[in-house]
Amino acid sequence: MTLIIRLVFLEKLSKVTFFDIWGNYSDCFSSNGWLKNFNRRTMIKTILVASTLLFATFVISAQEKYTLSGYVNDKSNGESLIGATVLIEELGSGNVTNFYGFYSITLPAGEYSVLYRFIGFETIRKTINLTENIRLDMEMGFQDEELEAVVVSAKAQDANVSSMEMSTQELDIKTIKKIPAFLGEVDVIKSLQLLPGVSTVGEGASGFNVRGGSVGQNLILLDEAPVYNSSHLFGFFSVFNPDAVKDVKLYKGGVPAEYGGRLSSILDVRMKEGNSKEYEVTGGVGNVFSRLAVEGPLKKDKASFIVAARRSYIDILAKPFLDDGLEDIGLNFYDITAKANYNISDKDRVYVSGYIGRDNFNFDANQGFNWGNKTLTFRWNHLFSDKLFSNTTFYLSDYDYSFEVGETEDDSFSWSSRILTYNFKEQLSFFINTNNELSFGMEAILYRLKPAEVTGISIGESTDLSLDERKSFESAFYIGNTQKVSNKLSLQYGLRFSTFTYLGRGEVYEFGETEPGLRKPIASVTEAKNWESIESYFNLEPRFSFNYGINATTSIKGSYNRMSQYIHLVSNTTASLPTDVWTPSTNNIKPQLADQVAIGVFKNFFNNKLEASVEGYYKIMQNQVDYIDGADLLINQYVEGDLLSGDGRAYGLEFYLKKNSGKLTGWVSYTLAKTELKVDGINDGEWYETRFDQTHNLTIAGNYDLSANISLSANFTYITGTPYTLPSYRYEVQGYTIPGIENRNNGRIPDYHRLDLGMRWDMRTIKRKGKQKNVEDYWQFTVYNAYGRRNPFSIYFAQNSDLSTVDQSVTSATQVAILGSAIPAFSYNFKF
Amino acid sequence: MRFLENIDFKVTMVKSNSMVKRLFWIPVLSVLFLFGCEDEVIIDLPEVEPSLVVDAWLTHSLDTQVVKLTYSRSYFENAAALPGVDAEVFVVDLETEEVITFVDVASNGNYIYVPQGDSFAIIGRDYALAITLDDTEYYSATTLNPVPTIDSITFEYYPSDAFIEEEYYIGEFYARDFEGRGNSYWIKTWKNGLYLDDPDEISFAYDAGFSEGAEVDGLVFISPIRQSINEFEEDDNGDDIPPYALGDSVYVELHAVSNEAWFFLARVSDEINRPGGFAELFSTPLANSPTNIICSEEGKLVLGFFNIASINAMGETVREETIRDVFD
Repeated sequence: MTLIIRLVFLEKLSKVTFFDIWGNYSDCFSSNGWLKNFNRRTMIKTILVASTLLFATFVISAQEKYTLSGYVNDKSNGESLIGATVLIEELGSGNVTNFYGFYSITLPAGEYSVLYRFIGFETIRKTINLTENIRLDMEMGFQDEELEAVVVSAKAQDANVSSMEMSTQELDIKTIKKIPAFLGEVDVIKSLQLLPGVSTVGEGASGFNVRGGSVGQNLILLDEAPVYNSSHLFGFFSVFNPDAVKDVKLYKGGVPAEYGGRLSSILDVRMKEGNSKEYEVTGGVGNVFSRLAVEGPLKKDKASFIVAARRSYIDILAKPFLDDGLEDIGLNFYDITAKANYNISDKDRVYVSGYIGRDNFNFDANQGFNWGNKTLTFRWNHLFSDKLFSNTTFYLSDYDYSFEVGETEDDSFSWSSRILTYNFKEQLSFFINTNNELSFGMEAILYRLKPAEVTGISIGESTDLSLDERKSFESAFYIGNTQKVSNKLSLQYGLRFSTFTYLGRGEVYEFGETEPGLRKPIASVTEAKNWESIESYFNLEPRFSFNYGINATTSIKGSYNRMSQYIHLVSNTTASLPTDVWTPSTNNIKPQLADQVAIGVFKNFFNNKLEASVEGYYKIMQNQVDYIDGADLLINQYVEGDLLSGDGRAYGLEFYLKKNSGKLTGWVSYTLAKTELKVDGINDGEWYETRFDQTHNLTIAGNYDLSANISLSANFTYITGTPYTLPSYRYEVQGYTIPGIENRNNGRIPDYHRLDLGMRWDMRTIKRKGKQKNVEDYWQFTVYNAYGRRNPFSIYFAQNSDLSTVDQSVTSATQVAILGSAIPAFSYNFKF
Repeated sequence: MRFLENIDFKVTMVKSNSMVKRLFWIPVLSVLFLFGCEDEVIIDLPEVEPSLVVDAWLTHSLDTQVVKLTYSRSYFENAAALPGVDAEVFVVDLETEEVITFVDVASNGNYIYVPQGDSFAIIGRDYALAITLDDTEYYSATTLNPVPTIDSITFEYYPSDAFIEEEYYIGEFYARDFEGRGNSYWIKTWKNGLYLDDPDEISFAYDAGFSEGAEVDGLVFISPIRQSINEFEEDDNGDDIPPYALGDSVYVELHAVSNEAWFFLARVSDEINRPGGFAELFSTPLANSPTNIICSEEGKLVLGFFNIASINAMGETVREETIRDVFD
């Protein structure tokens, strides 16, 4: 069949199938007619093009072909290198190692020169004679320090321009460690907030916002398992221990088909595997945490482990000063991250990794509040052949919080809540040839949401306020291909088919109609049997991106993706709380959907020393969850009656300029953006700006190597003040002064700006006698908010509470700064 | 630790969001209060047309009954509200259609009715409020519900601690919610004759608990509600004042209110109880409080609330007979 015939054939076929599917499920799409049409047309086109191209790849050439494959590792510690480039010089193309460090290239027989490149590592050139399938595992060594200053070393020096990825931010842990951090604690999530398109509502707020998405629209994965709350101490610190993190990648758009389940972003955090060559201990003592990590081989070059732990110790330090009934007050948070892997054979490798973290606030011996995540991931990498890489994952994620108060057993209250997620995932990568890498797989997730196990006791009489456990099942099948069409054009396209079923047992509520914005009355309550399907949804999520290289240093990239989200974070507060409840899609709550289009220009200057990009995005979101005024979100069996549904839209421009090499490194990031919601029942159904809408967001981050031992760093941030709601009028009822409002988020708090400074001072590595010290250690000094600006977090309005002195209460507005002064900190870090 | 506990307590079983949130900032505060700060700011607010405000909280008692009419005004306007004068105000018994007229005796917007020997209202009956002002009519309706009896008021002894540097007492009133879901209450407290009117002192109950989504029915009011009659205040030096000291008196009124009135109180509490500081992390956006007043002119804004409550009250003093020494 020629290409044309195949196209026609496919179109015929698709007219039936795809239109049918879309027709039946058109209610999943927005009422915006254009969006619906846009969706249908683009989707079908995408699918057509995709399948045609896919077929094209299977055209078997007559020439004999062989496969070069293997793993790429760091010579010093055996860690696999993610994203190392393996380049066939003769062809000018190659492959990039996957998350497990594996690569595979299929070529016609012949002699080739192969280049292995990775940031900060010495490039290796190998000549191979490909007359049979070759397995070539490569170990790469660090570049000479002196060389590093002059030689530009990037994964591929021109990855910014040449790679398929757009709307993606990658931070290696080395860069993260250089950024001056709050209280000196290196922080993965805070570092991400310095990048374009990523923001937060303010200091102390947990999570982050990506391209106009809410905190609950980010999928945060730690070794593939979702972490439901990524913060310690509300939002001051994130749960990832930098000593155990290898790679951090954030997808803001152009999301590959293998990922799904959240609207706005995927944050994929990968843990280190542990040194497989020798034992290593790293650690540090800071103002907040003490850290210790141990890693080493279980069996040299075959198996290794890492265990890393952190604990805050302010409670221990404070203990001697607490008396008068304060002895039992406690505040601490800790996390333990562990991983082991075993290289069973050339074809099989298994990993097991886990995380346990907890925040504890104890008011006294029997009253307190605590929360934490636990994750456990098993993975099995298997090579079915040199070309077919398989990863099988099973994970368990468990987030829970509990809350206990009551001085005596007769008057007490305990409340616990839990989310259990079980996931089985199979991912396959088929390295077809140098131009095509096909990935496909499936995922099955079982959610068990236990919103509230509650017991209240009043003078010895107890009452059970628990809510039903809610079960739901999510599954996804996906297929995607990364294709190099020509030297100039590369494509990545795929399709994800996701389904969601809301399951019994439990009460099923139907609500009656009411005026939008008011609590919906309950119309009927029925009982669903265990595992009975109450409501099902499915969505087709097309993903498409292209990279068109204009020349060696310039490219244009574009992407379209649809994302769906089936579980929703229910929160109506400024910052999200550990107690915020996740609720599944139900017969009353529809899955959230987002369509995003992004286009960007990527250019490198001065022999790849400077990377620049400009990206624009436009995103439409449907079925966004909002709340009635006075919504009762906690321990409320009828919570669905308090939820509203609306549309969202977000658009913006992101500018990014980065200098990778030389004594001065760093970046400038600027985002111009707008994000709005439109909800029936809020703001008269008009568009309004979200609480995290930031028009301008500028970050300048720099690091300067003053000498071999001392490096200085600084970052400056400027952000437009976020919207908040102003009262328009006041009135009195029963002596209380009540504020009246006209519109939500009709004011803005003043702009935010901040400068942080840092210095890293490496101790000498050579002893006086000229011997190498066996300890590498350094001090880190930071000043957060160096010029002590009282950056506003919010403004609140309140009446003067003392009415005894005046007849009339006095109203006033107060601006709150969470951190209102310069905060110096230091830490000592070591490795031996 | 008493101080924190009592705040927790208020907060805990508390499902009312803003209150739960208040709990969380306490520990945070203890760590980070050094860094936070607040500044009073001046903000330009939009001007709005005044709207009629109806403050009609009547009681099943022999007290003089007042329906207060005022006008809303700009949020920062701290002068007294303009009164709504020259209105006709009636309360109608919807069963007998008997009309009770309220009269603005002093022409200050306070329309009063003095019960003659007996309350004007009967428990279990529905009542309507009708107002005519400037050719516009306003209506509302409510039901008068029965009220449980307050059984007792006791005081728990506490020695001085890190917060309150003298011996003190925590008061607690005991009453049992009626069987059956959907009873709602407003608890008003006077300490030594002074009404506790701070925004954080609003106390309300839905059955024996705080809100309707969770079922706490037919029990004695849960402990944070029982203890909501305490005042946690600082003196001018910033030291905590004992909630109650020996010899202090307390007077508690338990009002049975309509469900709508309970929701109104809960909403008002959320909107006006803004402690600021770290609690701002967990604050909800400012929003309007509901009203049950209907205006005959469509689209015209009217504010306020109409409710008739039956009341049970009890007074007590901190004395040997009322002190429970449970602290060990």
